[in-house]
Amino acid sequence: MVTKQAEARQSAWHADGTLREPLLVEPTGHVEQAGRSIPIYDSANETTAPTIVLVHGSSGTARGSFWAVYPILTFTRRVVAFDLQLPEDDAELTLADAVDQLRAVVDHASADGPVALVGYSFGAVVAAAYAAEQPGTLASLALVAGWSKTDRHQLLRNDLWQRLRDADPESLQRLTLLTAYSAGFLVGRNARDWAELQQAATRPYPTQIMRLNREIDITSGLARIDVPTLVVGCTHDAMVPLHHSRTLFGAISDARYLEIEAGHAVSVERPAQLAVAIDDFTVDPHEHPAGTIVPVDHA
Amino acid sequence: MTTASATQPSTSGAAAQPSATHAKIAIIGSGFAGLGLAIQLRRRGERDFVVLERAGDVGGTWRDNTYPGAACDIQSHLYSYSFRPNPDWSRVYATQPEIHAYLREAAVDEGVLPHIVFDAELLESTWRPDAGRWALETTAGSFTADYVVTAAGHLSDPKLPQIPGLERFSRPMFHSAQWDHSFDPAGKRVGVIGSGASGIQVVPELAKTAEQLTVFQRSAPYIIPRVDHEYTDGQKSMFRRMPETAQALRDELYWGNEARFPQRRGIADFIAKIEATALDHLHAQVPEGELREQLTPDYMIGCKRILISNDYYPTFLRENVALETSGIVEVTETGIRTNDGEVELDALVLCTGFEAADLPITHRIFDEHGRSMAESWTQGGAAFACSTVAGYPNLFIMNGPNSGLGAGSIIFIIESQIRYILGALDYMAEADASVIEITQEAQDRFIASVDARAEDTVWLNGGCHSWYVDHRYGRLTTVWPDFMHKFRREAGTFRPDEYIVDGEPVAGERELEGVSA
Repeated sequence: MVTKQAEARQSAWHADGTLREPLLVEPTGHVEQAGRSIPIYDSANETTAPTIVLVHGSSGTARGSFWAVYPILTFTRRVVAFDLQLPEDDAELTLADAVDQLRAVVDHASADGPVALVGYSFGAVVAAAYAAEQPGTLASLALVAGWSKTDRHQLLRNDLWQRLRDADPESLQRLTLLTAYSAGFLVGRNARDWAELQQAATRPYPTQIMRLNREIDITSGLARIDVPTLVVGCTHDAMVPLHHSRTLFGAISDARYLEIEAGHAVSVERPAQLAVAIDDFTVDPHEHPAGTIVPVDHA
Repeated sequence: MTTASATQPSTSGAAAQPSATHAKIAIIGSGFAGLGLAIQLRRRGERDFVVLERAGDVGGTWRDNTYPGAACDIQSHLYSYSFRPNPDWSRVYATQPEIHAYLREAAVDEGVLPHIVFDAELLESTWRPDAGRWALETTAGSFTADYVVTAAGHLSDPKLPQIPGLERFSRPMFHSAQWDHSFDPAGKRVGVIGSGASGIQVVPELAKTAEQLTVFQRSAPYIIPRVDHEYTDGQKSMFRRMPETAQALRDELYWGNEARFPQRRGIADFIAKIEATALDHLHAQVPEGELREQLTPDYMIGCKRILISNDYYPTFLRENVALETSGIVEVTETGIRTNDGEVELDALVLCTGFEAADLPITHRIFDEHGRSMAESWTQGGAAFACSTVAGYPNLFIMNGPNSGLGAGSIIFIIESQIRYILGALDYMAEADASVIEITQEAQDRFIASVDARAEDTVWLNGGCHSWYVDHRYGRLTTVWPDFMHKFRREAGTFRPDEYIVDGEPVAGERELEGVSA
């Protein structure tokens, strides 16, 4: 019993007792798709529950969205993340292209059975679009801080982002800090963590994803999503405000809804809460019936 | 010391004594755990219970640890009962008098005091199968009970260091949890053994007046800044007027603590962040040199408890304070002989922690064959759902095996265990049953799952010698090797399936019902 469970975990230690390197830095392999190599990060531990596939957000990398959440999920699950490949020479990224890449990764990860797909922000859009196109291929779907149709509020922020990106990087950094995090989280950081957040906000998101973000409309596909779905909305989200998650909850028939007291950067503000919510849901997607607003078990 | 309640806890237990010969439920201890369960029983209208308390007051650890500087290192808005929020916490990390006052006030307000028998130390508790009861012998007489709940805590019985000659020391000497308040360190040469959670709180206080303070460090702890401040009257009023703001703060603190757990699982990014936080703190407070080296830990962060303090390191820059790391050879009548020579002392303070692995209470609980629970644990502490032990029916342990935490609030664990026990009592009442016992198989399965998780933690891989591990067996028996959230899911909701109730397996019954239906 002990041995079997121990094998199921991804240990943080090498056999010689030294600590493993940070995760989501070096890919564990690649998936070939349409003539290109998609880097993947496969925890490769064997577990009985479905494998989790993570789709990152507008930051453009698995590490950017999931550095804190991915390792937590690997405590109990096989987890596969990947870095979306962007077209060369600043050519336009299309949603169909992103879905195609995701399909290749899901196919790779599905050898042992249907996977639990988890998308964050822009990744939630890609995940929902995939789920709408491929009924019956997933064990479950989790959409974190996602949306279905870009609205005026998002376009305003996106406009500002586009204007500041080249003209005024320091103002862009402030815009990012203001909109990525909840006010309470920003105010509560000590000097050291605040410096880290500021540093992280100097890395601009890929322009191709930011341009695609302006054009999103997957509304018509939502009714076709036929897997148990968890919609996670963030109370203080200024990038993808709460009404988007509530719309998804309404439109997906087998959805339940959880709200987390965080800004858009929920994976930084509440990594443990997000990870255990995903873990609990994907182990038993029907624990809460469709239409449930998942009760917050207060501390 | 401030006392929030006007009523002094009774020391005679006169109110409970006459009817206490038999009670449905006997709770051992009136610290955070025992008191919390007693409050919930009262609120549900249960009156047939007794709390056996060995001392003359409630509060457990927070009654005993009165040493100068004693404070909690979990934030008070989280380190308090969710069902008794306190908008008036004076600061982020309350000190011992305020926490003790909170518990005393809770005991009075909730009507628990009449149920408590003070000065009633449990001597032995034995299961009597014929009567279907526990027989308890205490220093305040004999009791019987249908159910026993041990709520004796991890940090209740002082542990003395195994140092040759300790008993020879002829001058004032005491453990931090048994502080001698008649002792005045002014003008004296004082030694402190230990640099754990108690030691680092005591040392800055003693240094203020002692003529010379020598700290005998066995291993250097990791220390991070204490991000502490007082709450303003306006904030306290906000918490009172808008209780949801206090709840939001509590939730934020809870998930903030949960986010520290991946450190214990050795996740590189988390380790790097917390290690840099600790070492930056040391480097900011202690200049480069021998002292800084002596204060630099030699194991992986988190293997021992990570401490929080802003005034411990600076204490060593005082002229009257010395750090001794060469190793103690022996204690003499007048001081301590180290590998570097002899240090003469007028007093010796032992900040050497508690018996957390081999819990003393488990040597006083016996099965029907007279075997103690400690004896039954051939591989160290083990309980199903951290609560029940095969061979010991109708008994629940609070704060027992794998119920401590390396990153979080023990009050959350205690409240989870309260839920579990109340769930079990409800089940028994509904089933009109009288004896419940876990199977050995279920217990073994649960422990295998805990052990597997422990294998991947810094507690077993971090290269230190800590009280989290039962070193007789090399098993992590003191702390829960997962998120608090998982504890509540796995050990905070009673499920009868793996129990034997009145001699019949519950799951078996259900299967038979299924067949006949």
